[in-house]
Amino acid sequence: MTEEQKELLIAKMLDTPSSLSEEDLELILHDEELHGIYEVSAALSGACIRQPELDMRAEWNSFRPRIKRKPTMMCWSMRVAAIFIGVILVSGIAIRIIDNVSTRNQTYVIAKVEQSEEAHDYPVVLQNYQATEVKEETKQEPATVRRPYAVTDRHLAKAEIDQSKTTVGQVETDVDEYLRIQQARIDNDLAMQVAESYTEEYDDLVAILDAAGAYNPELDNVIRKVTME
Amino acid sequence: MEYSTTEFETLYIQCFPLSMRMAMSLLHEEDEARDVVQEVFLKLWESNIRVENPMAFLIRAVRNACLNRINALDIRDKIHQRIMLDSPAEDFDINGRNDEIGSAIQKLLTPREREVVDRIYTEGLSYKDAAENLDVSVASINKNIVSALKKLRGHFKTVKS
Repeated sequence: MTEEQKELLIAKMLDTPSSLSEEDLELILHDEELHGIYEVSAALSGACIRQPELDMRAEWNSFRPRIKRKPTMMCWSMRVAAIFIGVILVSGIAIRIIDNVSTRNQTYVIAKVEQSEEAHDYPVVLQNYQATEVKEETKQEPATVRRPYAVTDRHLAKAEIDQSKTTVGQVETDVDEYLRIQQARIDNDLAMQVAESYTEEYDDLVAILDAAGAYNPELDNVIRKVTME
Repeated sequence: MEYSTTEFETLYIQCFPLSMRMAMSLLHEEDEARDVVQEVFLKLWESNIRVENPMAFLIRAVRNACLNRINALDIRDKIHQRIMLDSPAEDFDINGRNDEIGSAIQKLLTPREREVVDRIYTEGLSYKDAAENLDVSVASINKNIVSALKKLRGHFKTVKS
């Protein structure tokens, strides 16, 4: 390669590198002088390049958004705990609200018929008590709030139920429910009376044995067993 | 132990200019150099490690990051950006080399050659623009450049040997 050819190649290498062919690149890589001149040119370029004027405040402000501290394990555990507590709190509030709403929907006002000496109680179970109550207040006792509603017999109770705009089917269901409760109470009273009679019988037996000086705890157990049976 | 944001800001303001100078000398592109330097600072921040000599650490990290980028370029891109083709030695000191080159330019080149080198390498003009700027022919520009490069090569070859 002549000196002229080398100078032309150096001119292409420095001024119009995009015009270099593959052959030119091969020559630059493998010709020692061309290669050496290119390396000096690259070093000269690095040494002479004009350094940018830096505004460090602007440089920092552009970099600042990129740095974020990674959350530590402590942060993670605290987050998990906070989420857990939050879920429990929200669940509790939701359950409480649902409970309140359902309780309010199932509010029953059970009124009893006046206590007469032998008359049966005719309780009336009313829903939507508020409407009836307003009516009652205008008639008799305007100051009374949520007072028990009483009637003297079942017919009157039903009539009042109709007036209270409660559906008939619902009222009948409620009355039946109430009667079942009352029956259960009566059964319970009977059971209590039977239990009391057993207790009295037992006490009598113990008193007799005690008077006879024959009271024995072991025997007492036998007696208890017999009387309870 | 990690840096606080305020400490890191101080470190950034203190070390960024030199890191940027290093990256510019190797990559010759301002945006690319800034990108490399910011990446290095970001890695230091994310490592949550407080280094003993941050300036030395950053300069070396920026140098390595730049060389990694250079190695990823093909020969045509390297020549296009006037980036060195050969990988530098591990103990390569770019600041020392730049000082040597500056000194050699002053000592070895003629005033005309220095002018041409200044237009082509410092101002980044094309041969045509440099010729117009200096009111000479394009052939004269090339002649002066080739002469200057041969002188510098001979000088560094002698120094190296």
